[in-house]
Amino acid sequence: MQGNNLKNRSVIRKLGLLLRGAALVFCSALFGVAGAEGKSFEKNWKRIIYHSYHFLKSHEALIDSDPFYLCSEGRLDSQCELKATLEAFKNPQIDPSEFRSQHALCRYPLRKKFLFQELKLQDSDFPKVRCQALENWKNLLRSKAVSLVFSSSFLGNPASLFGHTFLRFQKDLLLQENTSPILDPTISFAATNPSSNPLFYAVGGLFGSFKGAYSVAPYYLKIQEYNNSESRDLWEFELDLSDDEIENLILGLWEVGPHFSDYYFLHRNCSLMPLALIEAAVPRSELTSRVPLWLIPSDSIRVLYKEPSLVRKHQYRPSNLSRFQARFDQLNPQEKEELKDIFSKPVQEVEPKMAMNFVASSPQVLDTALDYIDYDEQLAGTKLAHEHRELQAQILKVRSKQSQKPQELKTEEPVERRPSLGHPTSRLSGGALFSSKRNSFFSVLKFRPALHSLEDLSHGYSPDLSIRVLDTEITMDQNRRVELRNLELLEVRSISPLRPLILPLSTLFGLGQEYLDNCTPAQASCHRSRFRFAAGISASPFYSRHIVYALGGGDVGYVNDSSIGWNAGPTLIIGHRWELSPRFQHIASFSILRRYGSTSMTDIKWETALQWNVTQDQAAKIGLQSLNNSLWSGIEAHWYF
Amino acid sequence: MRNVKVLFVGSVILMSASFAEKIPYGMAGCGLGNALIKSNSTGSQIASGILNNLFFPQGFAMTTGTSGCSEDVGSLSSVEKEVYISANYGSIAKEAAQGSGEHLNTLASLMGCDEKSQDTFAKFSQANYENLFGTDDADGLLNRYQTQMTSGANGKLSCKEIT
Repeated sequence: MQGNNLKNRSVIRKLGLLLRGAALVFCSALFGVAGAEGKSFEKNWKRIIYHSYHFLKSHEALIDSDPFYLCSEGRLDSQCELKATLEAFKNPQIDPSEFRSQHALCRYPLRKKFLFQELKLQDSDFPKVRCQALENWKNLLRSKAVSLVFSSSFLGNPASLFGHTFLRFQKDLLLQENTSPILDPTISFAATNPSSNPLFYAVGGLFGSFKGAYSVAPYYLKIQEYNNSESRDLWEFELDLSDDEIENLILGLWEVGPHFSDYYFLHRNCSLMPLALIEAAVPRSELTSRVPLWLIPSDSIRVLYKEPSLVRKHQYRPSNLSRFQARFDQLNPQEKEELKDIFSKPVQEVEPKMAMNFVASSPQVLDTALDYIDYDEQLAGTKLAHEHRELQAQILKVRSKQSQKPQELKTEEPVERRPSLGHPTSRLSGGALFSSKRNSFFSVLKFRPALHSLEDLSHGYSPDLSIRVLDTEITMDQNRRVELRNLELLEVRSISPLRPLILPLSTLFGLGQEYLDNCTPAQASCHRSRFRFAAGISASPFYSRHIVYALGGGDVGYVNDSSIGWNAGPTLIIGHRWELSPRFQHIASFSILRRYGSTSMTDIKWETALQWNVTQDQAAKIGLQSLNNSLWSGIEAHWYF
Repeated sequence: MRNVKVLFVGSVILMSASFAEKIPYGMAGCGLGNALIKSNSTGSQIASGILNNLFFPQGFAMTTGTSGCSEDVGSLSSVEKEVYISANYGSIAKEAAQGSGEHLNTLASLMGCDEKSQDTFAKFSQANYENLFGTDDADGLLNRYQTQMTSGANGKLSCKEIT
């Protein structure tokens, strides 16, 4: 009897080996087969091992951590990785050299699921292993839905200038006790230890010197960090995924989570990796192939929308500034004055009044005051106020005596700022210029890789923020002489208008080269490389579609002319942005610079332009510009892509 | 900057807690609020320890060996509550004074109050605001809730982890 059992086991073992061998042969053959099934298998396998399509190269491996690939050539050779994976799966014991002493069947659950389904493999053909940590992970992320969350830009940190995206796993509140939406787990991919120095950050990020890693955090921490501490609006784009696809995503994250990818600011960034993860989990989707040379967070949202039936719905979560503004707008005039009084007087004067006569202050006023303190001190919800400590303590005490609940906030989504509606971030322009001084026409070609100018369609972007990166203008005269006219390496112009109790500083930072007429003592034209910084205020009279701003600052530059050379001086900039309608923008600006150097001169510039944003990705612009009394007029067509 | 550090530390601690294994963050499970809010040196120690490990739970799940305080903490859910309170104390205090809000409801939920009890929990928090939030001591909030809820007539509340 015992002998029969041993014989049976031996036969079963041999059969198992035979099956595994057949699977290997089958897989190897598949890659050589030109049929649709083979192609589909290869395509999905490459997605699962993150061999992604790249605009320039035929493909690239998105994971740079060596242990992720089991074959030494796995970063380049998907077939080798397939064989190595199946070999590792059938290994009866954990190889001591295995990454974190886990069996491959536990390390690669998405590969396992895919290969078992596609190759009709059976569990009984492989070693039995217990994957407790994986089970814990699945329990942690088990969700009814997944969202890609977009956080708007934040000027306080160069890493956040273009926004951010992360994944949120929505727990099923009906099935799970003791939970709430803000306890949902989120997954972010971000550069680790990035430099806080903007220049180092930009250079390091451009050339991939940072490591990108995944982190997990409950949603409330993201809300506190983005919504509250940094006053950034959040948009949650819920993906239309099946339960099976959600499980794939959870398993895929488990596989890549411990591994790093070199972080490239413009491409392999916080937005590309979530797209690659979604694509690996959702075979019906085509995402990374839609990504051009670079990807900015708002682009990734538009990529999602290009895929039919991938976004189920979206939800807006206002920042503390948006909440304060909405609450303030709901106050009547008397309450608004009362609120201003609270913050216009020293705390010592306000305190006794509130303590003695708390009924006089309506809950609406007190709630608005509390929201204002949150915004003003950039409180992340972690701590109570510091500067307004006593005032906040008094208001909270008084408020706790009023049973009336806070008025429901009418924070409707600012549809025009929804990132999915924005223009693509790269802009190519062609047109013509006429110089009255030279009485000559020029052809003009412009290219701006990112992001948004004040005259662009403001949908999807903040109307008071312009960020221009590598904005390049090349002209060709009638003698076919080509010239680099302007090059703005980086210009950030923030003209957030003053509001009641909100006094934002408007700023301008610019590093680049500009063309000037009459800029030398001999009244010749020149190219001036310069760095400028200015600060001031902006206003939006009567909450209209006008924004006017005035900035003062300094400007340091260099002109390659022996009579000028290095020069520096104060500058004043006055500007106006007028949104005639959502599709028509008018901008005007005047600037004066007194530059001191070996020859001191004054530059006076003004310009006015009208742009018609015909569609989300097409626009036309006419403009007039004066450079030291030399008039230029022009017409341009823009294409956003 | 300090807020970001607190948020970061809190997030890593929570994800560790979610894995029901030993928690490699030293003293963080003991007097968590103190570690996060009051003591810079302890907070930095936790942060650097975490940075030297991995961001990702799979790493935590497999990287044990540091004797954390998880065994001394009554249950992982208490760690979760402590982290939650530390990271949201200001928001919870505000909503308690107002008698409603998402952060307050979440605290009620973490304390095992069912959905029907959340409104009662919010009213209770508002009525006892000065006793519960009279100090900045986030660490003691759980104890203060326990004291207030067990000493008063709170028969209508059904919050498993308090009463």
